[in-house]
Amino acid sequence: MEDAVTLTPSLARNLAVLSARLHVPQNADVLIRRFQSGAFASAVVAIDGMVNSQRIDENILKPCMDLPRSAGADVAGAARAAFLMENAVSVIAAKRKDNVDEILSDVLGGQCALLCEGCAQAVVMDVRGYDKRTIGKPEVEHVVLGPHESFSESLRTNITLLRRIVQREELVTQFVSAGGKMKTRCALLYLRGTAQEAMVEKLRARIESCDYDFALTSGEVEQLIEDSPLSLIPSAIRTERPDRAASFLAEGQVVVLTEGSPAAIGAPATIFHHLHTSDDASMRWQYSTYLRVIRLIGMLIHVFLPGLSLAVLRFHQELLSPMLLTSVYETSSRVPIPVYLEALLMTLAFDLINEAGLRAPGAMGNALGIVSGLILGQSAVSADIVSPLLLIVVAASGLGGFCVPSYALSIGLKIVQLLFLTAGALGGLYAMSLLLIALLCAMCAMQSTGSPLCAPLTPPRRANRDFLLRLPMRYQKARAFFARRSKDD
Amino acid sequence: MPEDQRTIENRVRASWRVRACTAGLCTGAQVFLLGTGAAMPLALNGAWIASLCALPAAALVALCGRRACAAPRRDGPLSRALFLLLGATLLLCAVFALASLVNLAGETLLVQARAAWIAAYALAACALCACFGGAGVGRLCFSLRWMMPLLLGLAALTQREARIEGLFPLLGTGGRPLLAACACMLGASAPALLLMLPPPELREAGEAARACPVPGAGFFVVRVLAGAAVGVLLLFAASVCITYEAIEASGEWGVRLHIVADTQAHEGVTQTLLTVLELTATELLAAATLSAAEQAIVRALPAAGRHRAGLAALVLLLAAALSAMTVNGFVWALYAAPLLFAPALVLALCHGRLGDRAP
Repeated sequence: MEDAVTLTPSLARNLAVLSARLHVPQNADVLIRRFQSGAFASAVVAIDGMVNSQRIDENILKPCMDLPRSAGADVAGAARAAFLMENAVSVIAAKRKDNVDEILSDVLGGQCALLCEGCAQAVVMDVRGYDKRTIGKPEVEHVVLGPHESFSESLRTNITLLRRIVQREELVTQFVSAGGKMKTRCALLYLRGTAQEAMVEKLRARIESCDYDFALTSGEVEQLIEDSPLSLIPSAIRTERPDRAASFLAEGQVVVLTEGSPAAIGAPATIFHHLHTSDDASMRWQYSTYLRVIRLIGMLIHVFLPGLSLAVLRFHQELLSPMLLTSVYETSSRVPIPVYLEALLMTLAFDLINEAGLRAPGAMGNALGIVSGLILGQSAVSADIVSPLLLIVVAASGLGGFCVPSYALSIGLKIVQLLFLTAGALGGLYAMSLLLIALLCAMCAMQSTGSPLCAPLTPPRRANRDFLLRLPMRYQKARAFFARRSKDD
Repeated sequence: MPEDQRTIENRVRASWRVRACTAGLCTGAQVFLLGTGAAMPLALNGAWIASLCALPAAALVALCGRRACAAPRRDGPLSRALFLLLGATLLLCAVFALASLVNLAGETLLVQARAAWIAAYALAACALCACFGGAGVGRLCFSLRWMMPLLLGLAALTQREARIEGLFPLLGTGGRPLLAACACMLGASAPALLLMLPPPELREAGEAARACPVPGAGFFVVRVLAGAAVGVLLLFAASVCITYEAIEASGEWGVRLHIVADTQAHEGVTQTLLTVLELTATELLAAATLSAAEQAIVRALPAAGRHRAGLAALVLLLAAALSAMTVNGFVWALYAAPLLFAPALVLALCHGRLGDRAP
C-alpha cells in the first residue's frame, strides 16, 4: 500500500496506513485499540512501554467511552477530533494533526494518537510514561560549593530543570529534529531579547540540515553545529549541570538539549568558557581568580612540560645546572631506548592507565590506577626501563591535565601535548615556538557559530572582566559580546 | 543609531584595531631585525639613532594606508599593478623575516642543527599560518602585542652591567656611516604597508560592514608608531649592553640579534626566553606579511582565486628562500631589505590609486 501523506475521513483506512507503516502485526509492541465514542467509532494508537497506560485508560479511553450514544451525532465528521478534545479527553498537552509522518513521529516518541471515524485529523496527546533515571549528581563536573544536580536522559526533565532556574517569560523553547531516518528530538532554548535571533536560526538550520541516518547523542549534535570539524579544540561548550546551562542562557548563548543525552550544549562559546567552572561563580572573586590561575598553570604544564623537558635534554642543556645535568645523564644513560621514544611511551602509558581506570567498573578503577601508577612506575624505574626524571615529568604533566575543567578540551590538549613532545624532540624550543604560533593562529581564526573563539581577547570585544581572571561583581554587568546589547551596555 | 548598526561599526573598528596593531608589531620587529642586521655593522651603537628614521617613514606609510583604505575601490590596470607591487614588497618582507629567523635560530638555539632543517621548520610554520588566513595571524599578533614590551622588559633585566658609553652613539663611528645606516633603516617601515589592505574579516562581511567608516589617521599612526618605538628601544637596549668590540667581532647576523647576558643559570633562562620571544616576533612578522602579500596578490589578480594566489605566493617564497640559501646564504636578504623603501615610497605616493572599499 502506498504511503498516505495526510489522514483520510475513513478510520479503517487510516488505521491500515498506520499499521502498515508500523509493521503491525509483526511489530508486537504497537497498541491499536478501537472503541465507540458516542455516536462514532474511534481508535487509539500508541507504543507499549512508551506511554503511561493508566493515563490513557483514565484520561482518554474512559471519558470517550462514557459519552452517551447520541453524543456527537450532530457533529460534522471533520469536527469530531475537536469535539473529543473539547468534551472528552482530559490531557493538557493535546493538539490536532493530519500529517501521517508527524503523527507517526509523535507516536514513536511516546505520545498517543486518537483517531475517529469521518475525521481526517487525529488528536495527538502527550501521555509519555517510560521509565527514566532520576536526577543525580554530576559525574564529570564536580563542584565544592555549587548545586549538585545534573541533567538526565529525559529531554522533558532537562527542560524542566532549566525552567526551574530561569523563571523568565523570555525563555523560549523550540523543538527541532536531527537525523535523516531516525530522528532525534532536540530542544533549542534561548532568552528572547538576549540571544541573537540570527544565531538561533543558524543553529536550527544546522541541526535540521543533518542528512545522516541518525544523530543520537548530544556529541553527534555538537559535531553538527560546530564551525571547524577539523580543529582539535571544541567550538561549542558542553555541560551536564543545569546551573551552568542557565548561566549560558543568561549570557546570551543558545542551549541545545538532546533527547537521551544528559548534557547541554552551549553555543556560541569562547575558549575561556572551557576554562571556567560552576564553582567560579559560587565563591568570592579573589578565590576563583586564584583557582583559575592554578588551572591555567596546570594546563600549561600538561601541554608543554614533556616537550620542554625533551627540548632541554636534547638541545638546551645550558638551562640546567651542571650538577642536575650530570645526574640526569647518569640515569638516562642506563635506559636502553632513545629519550623521545621513552617519553612518548610513558605519555601513552599514562593515557592507557587513565583510560583503563575510567572504563573499569566502580571501585576497580581506583585500584587499577594505584596498581598501575605505583607498582608499574616503581618497577619500571628499578628495572632502568625509564628514567626517574621523565617519570616525574609525565606524572606532573598528567596531573596538570586533570586541572582542565572541560573533558572535551582535555582530550584535545592531550593530542596537542604529543605534538609539542615531537616538536621538542625534533627542534627544541625553536620548533616548539613555531608550532605554538601555528596552533595559536589556527585557534584565533576559529569561530563558534560565527563568533570568534578567542574573543573578547582577540579580536577585541566588549566583555565582562570575567574571561581569564575574575574581577569583582560590579565589573560584570555587561552582556557577552555575542548577545544582543542591553540598555546598560 | 540602530543597535545592529552600532554593533557592526564597533566590530569593524575592532578589526581595524587588530590590523593596525599587527602593522605596529611587524614594523617594530622589522626595525629591530634591520637595525641589528644592517644598521648595527655600519653605525655600531648608533644603530638605534639610525632607527629613529624609520618612525616618520612608518607614520607616513600608515597615513597613506588609511587614505588608501578609505578611498573608493579602484580596479584599473594601474591599481592592479600597484597591488602586485605591494604583494611583492610584502613577500620580500616575509622572506627577509624568514632569513633572519633561520639565522637567529642557527646561531643561538640550534647551533648543531642543519640550516636546511631550520628553514624547513620555519617555512612549514609559515605555510600553516598562511593556510588559516590573514584573520588568524592578525588576531594572534593583536593578542601578543604585549610581547615586544615584554621583550624590552626582559632586555632591561639583563642590563645590570650596562655600559655608559653605549649612550653616546657617535663614539666609535663617524657621521657618514650613520647616514648610511639611516638610509638602510628607512626600509624598516615596509611592513606597515599591510595597512593599505583592509582587514581580512571584511572580505566576507556584508555591505553594512564594508560601508562603515575607516577610523581616523591618528588611530593608525599611533599604533604603528608604538610598535616601531619598541623596536627602537630594543636597539637602544642592545647598544648599551654590547660593547663595540663585541659588535665588531660578531660577524654573524644571529649573534648580533642576540642580546648578551651573564652566564649565571637564571640568566641563561632569561637569555633563552629572550631568544624565543625574538623568534616568535620574527615568525609573526613573516606570517603576517605573507598573508598580507597573498591578500594583495588576490586583489591584483582576482581571477587567480584566493587559494591559487596563496599557493603561488608560498611557492615563490619557498623557491626564493631555498635558492638564496643554497647559493648565497641568507645574507642577501639583509642587503635587499633596505631597498624595500623604494616600493614603499612608490605605493605611498600612489595611495590614491589603491582604494579598496566597496564602490
